Amino acid sequence: MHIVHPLAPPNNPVTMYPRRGLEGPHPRKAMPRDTGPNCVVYLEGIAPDPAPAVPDTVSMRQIDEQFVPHVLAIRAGSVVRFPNLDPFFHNVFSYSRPKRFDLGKYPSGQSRSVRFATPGVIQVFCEIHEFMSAYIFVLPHSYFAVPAPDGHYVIENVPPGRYRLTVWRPGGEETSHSLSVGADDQSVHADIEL
Amino acid sequence: MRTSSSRIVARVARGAACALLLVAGAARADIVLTGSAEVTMRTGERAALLNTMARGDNPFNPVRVRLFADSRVDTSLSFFSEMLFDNGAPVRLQGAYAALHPKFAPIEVQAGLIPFGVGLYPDRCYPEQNPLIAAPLLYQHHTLLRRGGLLPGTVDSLLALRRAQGGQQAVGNGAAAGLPVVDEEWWDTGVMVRGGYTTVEYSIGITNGTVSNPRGVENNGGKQVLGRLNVHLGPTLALGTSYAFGAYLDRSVSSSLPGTTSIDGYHQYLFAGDMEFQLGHLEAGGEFMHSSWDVTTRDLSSVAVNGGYLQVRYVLSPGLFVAGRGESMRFSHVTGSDGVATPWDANVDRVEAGLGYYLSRDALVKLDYQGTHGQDGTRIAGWARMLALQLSARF
Repeated sequence: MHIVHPLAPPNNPVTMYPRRGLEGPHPRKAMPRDTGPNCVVYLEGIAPDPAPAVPDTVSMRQIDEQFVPHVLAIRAGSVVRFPNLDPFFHNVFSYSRPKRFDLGKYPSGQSRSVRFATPGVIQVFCEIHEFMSAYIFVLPHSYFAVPAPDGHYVIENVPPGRYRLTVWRPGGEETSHSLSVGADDQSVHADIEL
Repeated sequence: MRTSSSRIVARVARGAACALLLVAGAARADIVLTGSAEVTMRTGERAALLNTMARGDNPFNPVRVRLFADSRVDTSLSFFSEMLFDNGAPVRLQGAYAALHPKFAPIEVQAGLIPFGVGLYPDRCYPEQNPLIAAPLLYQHHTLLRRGGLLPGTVDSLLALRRAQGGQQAVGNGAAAGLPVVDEEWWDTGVMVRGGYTTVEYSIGITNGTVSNPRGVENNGGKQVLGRLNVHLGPTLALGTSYAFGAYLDRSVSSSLPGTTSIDGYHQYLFAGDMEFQLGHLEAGGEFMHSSWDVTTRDLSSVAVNGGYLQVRYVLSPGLFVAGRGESMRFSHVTGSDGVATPWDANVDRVEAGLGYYLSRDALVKLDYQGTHGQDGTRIAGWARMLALQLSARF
């Protein structure tokens, strides 16, 4: 199935938290650097995958005081690496219900990993840099995609059936459409306007 | 001449803030409203009283609410304001300033009612950044120095005052209110330049009042010059030093000064050093301050205090941490007519320890123990202990 939609990059400012004195000489960071749609497209009504023999491993980098990508989608059981590519410390943590973790402060060039076993949305922060945030969307199956900056996305190997195609955006905003995939379909195009 | 120049500086600071606020309004900049609230239960009335801040508010009071209004006009201009509601003090505007980020240099210029920016604690004073509940003694404990008055004229009468009131002073805006070493909760009008390059951060500014006696308005014709330098020695260790110098007496005491001296000849001098270490789940830090004040007491040119604290925080599991702080203040000695050298104010020590747990990123529960020990022969002699439970939340 191949679905195209013309999502514009969302206006997704991160509200800064006021400090006694501002954060220093640099203007506060507001927008994630990767200005893609920052959403996850996934199917509902499809059976969960069996757990993979070898967990998927993906990365969420810390670079220029931002998490890249800002939105990451993974299958339950996957491992996310958090390499620090900045020349100073970061401290990645989350208090989200599906997964609480605190990786502590670690320097440039080092990485820490977390395995995410429970489906759900995990909001990730840096304890040192309050304006840094990102989302990890953990799904029970592999029928999802994070659209490219131009809005393109592909969900592969979808079995025939009727599903709901849902777009999730940070903040919990979701948009759903019904979708039918026939046995003879090579691909199905679905445009979603948000 | 000095009076004239200081008024000009004050007017420039206020005028700059007002003008920039008008610009922001004209530009219809978005204003972001946020806040924080604290609800606290505690034991130990006497111990809690020793945590009262200069204007009557107290971090152990049952309810405290802060409201912040932020606005960013563009990448070079933003505004900040903060209001504090505390059930022990009148509602007040804590601070309001414009921040300019010129394109030609990595600096920030703050003008208006600004924080002092000296020392380590001020950037960690909000409930979610302070692993404990109280402010360190250096930023809160009230000395015998008066907001709008003078120390007694003789050493013997100073020591008598110490026995009667040492360690526990009146608070508020009255003449008899005791001065802390650094009044972090009382911002002052002025201008501050903050900047940084690679591993070095700095700030330098000028304000109306001093760090121990900020008034927000020009009150003695003098100005305070203050600055801070912070150097990161690798990723785990940072060292900082701060300095402040300015006239601290209020104009109302002019007629009581000895001889031909004037109020702008009586200064507070502050020197501070601080250290911060962080690695993994451990944070440790500490501050040392030396402050002296020129005084009118006969046979004394000045009085001084040395103080400091060490603080540790360790994350036990995600969201759960343990923290502790040990601190001390030692006052310089004066010699009375009996020939005995005695600290001019009550020496004081404090230990505080606690557990904290983040219910979410914006909601934190703290269980806190604090003990304050005052020197024998003073009003705060012995230990005063308390236990507190606090819920703080941001919104």
